[in-house]
Amino acid sequence: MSALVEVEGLTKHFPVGTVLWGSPKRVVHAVDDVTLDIRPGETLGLVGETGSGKSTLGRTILHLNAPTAGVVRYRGEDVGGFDRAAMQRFRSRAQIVFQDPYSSFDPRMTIQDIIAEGMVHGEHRTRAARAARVGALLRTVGLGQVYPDGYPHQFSGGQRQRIGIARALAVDPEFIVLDEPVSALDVSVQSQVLNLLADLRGQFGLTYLFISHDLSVVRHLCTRVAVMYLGQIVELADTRALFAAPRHPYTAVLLAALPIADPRQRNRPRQVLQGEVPSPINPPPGCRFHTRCPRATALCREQEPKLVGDAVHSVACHHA
Amino acid sequence: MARPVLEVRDLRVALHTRRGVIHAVDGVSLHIGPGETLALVGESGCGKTMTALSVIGLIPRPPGLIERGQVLLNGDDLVPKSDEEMRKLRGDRLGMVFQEPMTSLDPVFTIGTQLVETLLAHRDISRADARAQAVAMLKRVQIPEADRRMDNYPHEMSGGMRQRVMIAMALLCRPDLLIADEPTTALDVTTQAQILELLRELRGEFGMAVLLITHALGVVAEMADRVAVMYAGRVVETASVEDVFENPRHPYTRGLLGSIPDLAEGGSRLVTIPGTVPNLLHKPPGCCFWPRCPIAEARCREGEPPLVELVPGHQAACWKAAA
Repeated sequence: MSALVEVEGLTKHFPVGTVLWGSPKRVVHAVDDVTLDIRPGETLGLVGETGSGKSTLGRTILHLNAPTAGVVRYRGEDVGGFDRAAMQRFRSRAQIVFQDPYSSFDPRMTIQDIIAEGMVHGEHRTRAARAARVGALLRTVGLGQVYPDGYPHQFSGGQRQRIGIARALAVDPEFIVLDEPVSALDVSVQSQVLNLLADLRGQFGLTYLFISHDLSVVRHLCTRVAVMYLGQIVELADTRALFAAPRHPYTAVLLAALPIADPRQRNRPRQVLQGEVPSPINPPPGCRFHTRCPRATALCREQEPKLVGDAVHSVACHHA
Repeated sequence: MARPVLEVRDLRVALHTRRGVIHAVDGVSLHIGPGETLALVGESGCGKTMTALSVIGLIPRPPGLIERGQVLLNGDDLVPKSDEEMRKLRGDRLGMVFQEPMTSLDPVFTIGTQLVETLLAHRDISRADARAQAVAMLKRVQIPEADRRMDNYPHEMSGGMRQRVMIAMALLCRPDLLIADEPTTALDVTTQAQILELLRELRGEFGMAVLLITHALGVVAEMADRVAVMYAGRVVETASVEDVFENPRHPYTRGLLGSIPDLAEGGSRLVTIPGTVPNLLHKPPGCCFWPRCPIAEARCREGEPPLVELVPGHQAACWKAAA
């Protein structure tokens, strides 16, 4: 199976404390040498804690951030080498939905205009054609009743997230990066949006990169999962395999940290990870997790483990 | 049964907005015994934070007004107390931890100053003693190098560390009641696990009553002894934590539990509650939940169901649960 998106050695560093000339003294290693494939039709989950670089990776894959190093290939073509026209085509194939659609909408635009903004090409040249298409999209995302001349503030969080999804669908994409799309929603509304995302995936044959800090949501929706820690992928596996037998100690700790919605299991022994995520400005040498890892040895402090394994399960740990 | 530390009786809080009066808390009754943890659960806007703010006397006035009801702390009604009297209680008998510690800590003072001032405000002790007690409490909440950390400003600490400082500040005077409003919502899972573990230990050690406000049912299952589920300003179900998870009687509680993407089974469709929470300005007549309820019938639109005891300790406000 050939990949829809191939990411190779992708790196994104942000300078901190920029100076007028010369190179900045310090850089944030937001994403460091990430290699992965996104297969057509799959939903790849990208999990990690705050500051792990998962959102930056999502944006850099779409070239919304220019990569510091590395390559993103879409259907085999290097996105970095696209000219203006090719980039415009890529932008309609690959879309993004943000956590808080409110801050990604212009508050003075109507819902109609927000959704139709990307549709200036192709068969939706006339205003009437665009209005008809917006009506159809709103029905698709379960907002058939809403008034398309309304403004974003008139809608609830769940409705705004549906509008954000409709906007992404407006250009007939194949691939959507979903950046924490349900994190800001109440549980009852969260489940509605998760069901909608699953339906749309089937209906339009979409491929998702689903970024989330919530492992239970990821388990529910994703076919494969990549776990990030300090800018690197530490484990990449089929969802079932990852949750059944996590091989990286960090993944194991993340799973163990999840509260379980069953009061009878509250007295289970818990493995609580000590300490905090180190600064991405000066990541630890060797394995980046060694400062908090219960299994770390001298080797881990010196040598960086590579992500190795097969198509089902790979892990970056000397002791996996 | 021992006398409850906190007893809320028929509390009704009105908010006067430009578009009309809404009752954010509408006839809520709760009780928490010594050493007990009650979780107040519900979605945004259901009134759980307003209930907590009423207990600690921090309802903004205007627009808020406690129209009726009592808030009894060890039998003493807090509602008629003056701001000055409430200020003395907060930080002393009443400890508080909020979701975002950055907004509860003062950014221009070191955390040491803030801890010491809290103690000096409530206790007749010397500054040196206060400092020693503050350092001891920081150590107790597992802040490394507590002595040095006293000189840090809040922005120099991570979110998890700041939440530990908030907990230390809340517990300095050994309160009878700790109110924890979404204490781990802004934290990552591994940090959340650390803070929950800490709260569990401290709860046992200090023997205080805890009012835990959260929308996260996983946290409820880990922490609570009893649960009160709120919807549109009312308690719609209350029971022991086991009963709520294993035998929920209100359709809203069942919907909430069904919406959790269960770790045990991926891939299936989630149960959803159609629609969204009602606008409190235009409360539906009858049961507030009927427009979203899968089992609603005619009488649900007409009369509001009272909270009735179905079995000892388990109450629900639903016509069909009572039947």
